[in-house]
Amino acid sequence: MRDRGIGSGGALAWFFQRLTGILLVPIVLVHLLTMHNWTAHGLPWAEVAARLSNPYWKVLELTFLVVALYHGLNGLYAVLQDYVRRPGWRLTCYSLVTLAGLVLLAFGVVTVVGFPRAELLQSVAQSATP
Amino acid sequence: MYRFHTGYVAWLLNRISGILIIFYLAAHVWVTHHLSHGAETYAQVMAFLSSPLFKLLEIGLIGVVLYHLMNGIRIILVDFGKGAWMQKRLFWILMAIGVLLFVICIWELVGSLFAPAHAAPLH
Repeated sequence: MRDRGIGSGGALAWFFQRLTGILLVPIVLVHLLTMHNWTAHGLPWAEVAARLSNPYWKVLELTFLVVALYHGLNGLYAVLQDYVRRPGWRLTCYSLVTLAGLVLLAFGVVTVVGFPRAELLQSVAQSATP
Repeated sequence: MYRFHTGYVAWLLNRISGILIIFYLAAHVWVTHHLSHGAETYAQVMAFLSSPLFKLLEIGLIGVVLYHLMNGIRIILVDFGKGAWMQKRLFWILMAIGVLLFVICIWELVGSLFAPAHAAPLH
């Protein structure tokens, strides 16, 4: 296969790291000020649920998920490349980082898209009982 | 000492903060997915995370994230040919903005540290 950063310059990775970095600045600030906003009453489920049921917030959180995972794992792989020199080990690192990204993406998508799954199932079960 | 020029320290801290953030992100995605398990599971997880220890860690996290954001803006400006001549000053200006954002972001978080435990209903 074409070397995945195995000794390559990685100009595209460099460019995408900048692009995703710019995108992340406003998204992270909005995310921190809303989702991590511990008011005096904590972060009640209903409040978070209401926000995540809104399609605009869903799109924002999904964008955040994809862009942050890409930026973070691309960055991690760039750091690893500075210390891991042998092609075989680099490929191993690349595979593990990609796998971690896919697993985390799956968990994140389930959280944001499938929300609020449990309550939906409950209401469906309730309406089914005579 | 030559090694400890602003640029080198900024680069090293960027790397360290980036690594911390990606490991946090992984844990965050995992913990947050309990949200989709319904109100009860979520309440249990949040009760666990409401301890002062986790809130202090979260304050630290916000500091680390804001450092990475502000230094990242400097990297992008310099990489795209803007402000290389005033890199050092740019770094400190952005750090000042970062401190301001830090105060804004942790205001509620610090307040909740001193809030009575019963003020966090688990529903």
